[in-house]
Amino acid sequence: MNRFWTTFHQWGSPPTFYRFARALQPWLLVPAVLLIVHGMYAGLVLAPADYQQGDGFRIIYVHVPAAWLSLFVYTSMVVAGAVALIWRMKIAEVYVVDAAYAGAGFTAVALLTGMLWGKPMWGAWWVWDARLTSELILLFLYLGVIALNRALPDRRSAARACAILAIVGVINVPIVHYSVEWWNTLHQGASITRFEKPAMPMSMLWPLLELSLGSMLFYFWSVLLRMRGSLLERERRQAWARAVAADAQPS
Amino acid sequence: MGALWIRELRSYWQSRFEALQCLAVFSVVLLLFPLGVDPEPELLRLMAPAVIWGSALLACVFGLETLFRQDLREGWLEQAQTSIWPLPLLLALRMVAHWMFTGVPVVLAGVLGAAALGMSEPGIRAVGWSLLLGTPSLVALGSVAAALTANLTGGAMLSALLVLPLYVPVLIFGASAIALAEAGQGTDASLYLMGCSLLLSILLAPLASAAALKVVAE
Amino acid sequence: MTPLLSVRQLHHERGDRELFGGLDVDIHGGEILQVVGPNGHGKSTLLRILAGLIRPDVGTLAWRGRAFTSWEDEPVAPLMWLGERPGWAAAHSVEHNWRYLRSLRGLTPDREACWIDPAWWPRRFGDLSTGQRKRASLAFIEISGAAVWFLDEPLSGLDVAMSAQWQSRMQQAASRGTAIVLVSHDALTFSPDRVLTWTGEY
Repeated sequence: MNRFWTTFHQWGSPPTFYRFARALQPWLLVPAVLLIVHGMYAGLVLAPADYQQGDGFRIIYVHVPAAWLSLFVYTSMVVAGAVALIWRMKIAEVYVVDAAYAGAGFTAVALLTGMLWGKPMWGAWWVWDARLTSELILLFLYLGVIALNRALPDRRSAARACAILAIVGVINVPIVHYSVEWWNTLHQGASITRFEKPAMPMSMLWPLLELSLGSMLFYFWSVLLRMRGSLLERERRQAWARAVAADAQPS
Repeated sequence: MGALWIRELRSYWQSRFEALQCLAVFSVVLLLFPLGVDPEPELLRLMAPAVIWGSALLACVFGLETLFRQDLREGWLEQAQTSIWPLPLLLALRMVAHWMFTGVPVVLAGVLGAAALGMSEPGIRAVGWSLLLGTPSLVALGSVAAALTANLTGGAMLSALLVLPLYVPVLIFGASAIALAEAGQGTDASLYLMGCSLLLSILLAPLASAAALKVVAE
Repeated sequence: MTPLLSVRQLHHERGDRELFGGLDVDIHGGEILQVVGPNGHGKSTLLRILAGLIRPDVGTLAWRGRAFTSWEDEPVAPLMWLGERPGWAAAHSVEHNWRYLRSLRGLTPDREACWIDPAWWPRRFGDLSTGQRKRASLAFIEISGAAVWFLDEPLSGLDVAMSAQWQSRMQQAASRGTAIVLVSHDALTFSPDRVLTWTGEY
């Protein structure tokens, strides 16, 4: 048990994490680029056009990974937030705040691509579809976390406040989703038609999986990059951060 | 316990005119909607659920600022933390008092407003019930945002941004109860769902608010 | 003898600065402990951690050798805090504040004879002068029955005579077994049992 806690705190110590993140980043970036490039090629060129939607369906290769990541990032923020509140682990605090920016970005991409897809399919840029509406509310939750973090003066208590907000939000997200869906069933006219999808052929599915995995690796790469910056800034008075900064300077 | 409760009521009674501003905001917003559109009875009745609930949400958000700010300024939190009572319990008392002085007037005004918007009798009843079940949830959820921004000057805007997305379910269930009643259908489903939201928020909001107050006061 | 309150291996940071790195403190009944040191090095933070207002980053607090929050055996709230802001509501009368604070701490909500001028009872707390407010809040501490008092600048705002009076009152309380931890810039008229000098430098 004791050994567990020692390891745990070592992991949580900024210099150890910084070095670990720096060493790990290339191992994330290279596969991410390979997967995304190959997935894009396979999805946009090799995969056949959809018999119902034509080439328009290809936007799912951006939309689905972004939407999936927008939920994944929020969930991971909640887990990190709980760790930050219970064990006061500094890395977790940094993660909660830094992940919010990437999460907001993915949510915005998912919304935009959803709208681009909706225009030809539904005939309108925006429809009050349950999933789109929940996604929009998720964007506001992300923006709330970012705004709260910027408003509070002390970095550490700001991060913990964001963690509380994220946790309250995550209880709310399923309720919001459910309530919007319920609202849809009450009000839904004929304007929205769900496409009953036949099973996706493998040539369409593979690129999607590749792109999802690639985007996720890319997300981890980018969040580590951001966390490294935040850690250096937070710990700028510590010896290790000064050493890193001195190394980076051209001698 | 009794003395604790008396003090909450006394605080709100002393600043009752400030608390009644919530009611004023609610009424003014309610008034603005018909002025913005053609005051045709059919149209007004169609818009009524959204108008009433939108006004209630705004009124509640404006009221949140008074929840904890004075306490932090006067050092109440430290005395509460070193007391024999759990902080969430003390905050729950505060929320109930806050609701009595800001929520209850809104419920009553909502019923009057529904009549003014030309709603049918079941519709008016649905307005009353949905506001009665919904406004405590608004206060409870709002208290978390109020606690997170309690230490900021001009945190009202931020607290509105934080809390309005969380209000979506209450808005949907509340407005749909009214719309269903107006359409002559049963409102039980909506009201039960509101009751569930209320229970959940009453149980969790004091805990989250207590954690939030401690974090921002550090 | 088991100390009333003990802290082990206290680590805490504020902002990006480490305030404490492995501090141990014991507080025994009947002693007056003064924390001194330059501003901005965490004296008040230390006091807040000891009073349980802030959770430290790392470190354990024990109350009478047991977990910190086990107050079951305590008849009334055992820790009393007085900071820059006393926790009295300016809009309420002195008497109402008094009753409220008593019931917060598990005491019966009565008015009683104490270090308060009886003429103050019906007045709004916010209408008292700075010195009167300070005296009222100190008077409450005296009757709180708390085992440990945490006082952040208890003498500021008091005139010389009142300051001397309060200091002898503190000594009397300590002789009855109350532990007092205080941060003060003013020179004390007596020498405290222990002085914790805190420079915050490592």
